[in-house]
Amino acid sequence: MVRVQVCRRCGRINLPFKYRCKCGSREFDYIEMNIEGTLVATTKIFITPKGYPSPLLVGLVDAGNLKLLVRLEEEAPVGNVIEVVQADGGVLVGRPKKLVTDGS
Amino acid sequence: MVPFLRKVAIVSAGMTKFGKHDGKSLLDLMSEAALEALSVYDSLDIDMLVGATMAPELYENSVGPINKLAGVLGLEGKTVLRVENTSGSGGAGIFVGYLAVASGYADKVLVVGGEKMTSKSTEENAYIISGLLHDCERSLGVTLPSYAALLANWYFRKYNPPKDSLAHVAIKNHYHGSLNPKAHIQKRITLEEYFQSKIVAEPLRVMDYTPISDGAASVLLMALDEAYSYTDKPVVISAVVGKTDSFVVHERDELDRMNGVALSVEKALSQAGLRREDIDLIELHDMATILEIVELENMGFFKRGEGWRGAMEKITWLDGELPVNTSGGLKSKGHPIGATGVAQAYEVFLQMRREAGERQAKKNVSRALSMSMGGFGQNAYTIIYEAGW
Ligand SMILES: [Zn+2]
Repeated sequence: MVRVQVCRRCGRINLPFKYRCKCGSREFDYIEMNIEGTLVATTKIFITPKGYPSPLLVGLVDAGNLKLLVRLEEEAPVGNVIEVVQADGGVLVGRPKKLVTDGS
Repeated sequence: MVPFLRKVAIVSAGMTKFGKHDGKSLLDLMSEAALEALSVYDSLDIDMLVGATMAPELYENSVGPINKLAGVLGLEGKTVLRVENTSGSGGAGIFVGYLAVASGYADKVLVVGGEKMTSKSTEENAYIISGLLHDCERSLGVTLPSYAALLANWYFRKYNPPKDSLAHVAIKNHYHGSLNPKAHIQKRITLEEYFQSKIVAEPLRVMDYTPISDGAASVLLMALDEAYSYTDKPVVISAVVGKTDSFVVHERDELDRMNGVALSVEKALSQAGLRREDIDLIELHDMATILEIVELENMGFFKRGEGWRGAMEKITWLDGELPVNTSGGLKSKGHPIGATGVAQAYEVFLQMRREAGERQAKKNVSRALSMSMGGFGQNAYTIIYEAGW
């Protein structure tokens, strides 16, 4: 589950949260959401910032009404379904669901 | 040209060599670039100094860097300020100087950009630069170079360009840089060397990225009427437009959409009353090779998915139809952050006046464009230049 911000005026889902939505509204609801999406881009980072393991897997997940950059728990091909969860400190972690083969 | 504004021109420009300057501080480097622009005219009295630099607080534990610069340049009783827009600080600095002259507030404005980076290690630099990202991105361990890698991964899947298309951007910019005596890395590279270089973040290699550099650059701006008393070849600034994109990169419609870049170019061209076909030369923000390709597409000079043709088909080489980054770009010239946008204007100034030496574009350059952006296109400034003679 991931805690997201939903704009009361335009329905846009914001993560990270905003003080003022793109539509100008300042009124939001906060909800816990199950987020599952498709991995649309990924990279394996070898030269990582201080304090981070190398290599580090990150990916961009497209969940339709929301896109999120996540740290991937394990390697997965583009096209794979990813479940997004929030780890300690709010860090977004992507768990590859059933592994599909690339391009299938 | 916005009707109520005065015409503004660059009268002179300066630049330190980019590279590793041991023993020189940001203040030394910015002063050197400033004096080069000012030395053309003895005891010139300027009205205003605009300084662009990102993070001397972190690099040198120095605050108020532009007040210090005014001090060592003997500028008292003047208007002095600092402008900051991360890696696009230089473009934003020129915007402020341009408006000051265009509005009539000042007649002569010196814009200086600079950064002193090499006193910190690569690791410390990565840490400092990651500070410009949103905490939600930084906490993942993502840096700007890894965003470029994500974009490259996405671009290759979507458009399937030739495998060596990024290498050709690097080869071109290193070729240009090899002809620029002020470039950080004045060395040509081969396809083999490119593919032998280490992977930083898949699929990008060390050879895809700009080095870490020290350096500074400057331009002296004047109202055009007055500029003719100082040079018979003023370079007119026809428009400067800044536009933002979403700050958090994952909020963008698609990874290769850089709306801030696209909007700033579109509006700058329309203010200048020019079309893309009128532009003879471009300096842009190739922090990584993939960005040169994607920026050219977002600027509308290539269709989406076809920007790679620029370097591969020799269109963007200095003897091509649309030379891009004749200076060597960030890739080969280097990227002392606050200096970069001003150094782009320095390059355009030389190219238009045909003073670029061995790297002089083959074609006549009478109209040019530079684009200086912060971060991953979060805040982009486009400048349009026209020959004033
Ligand atoms: Zn809204």
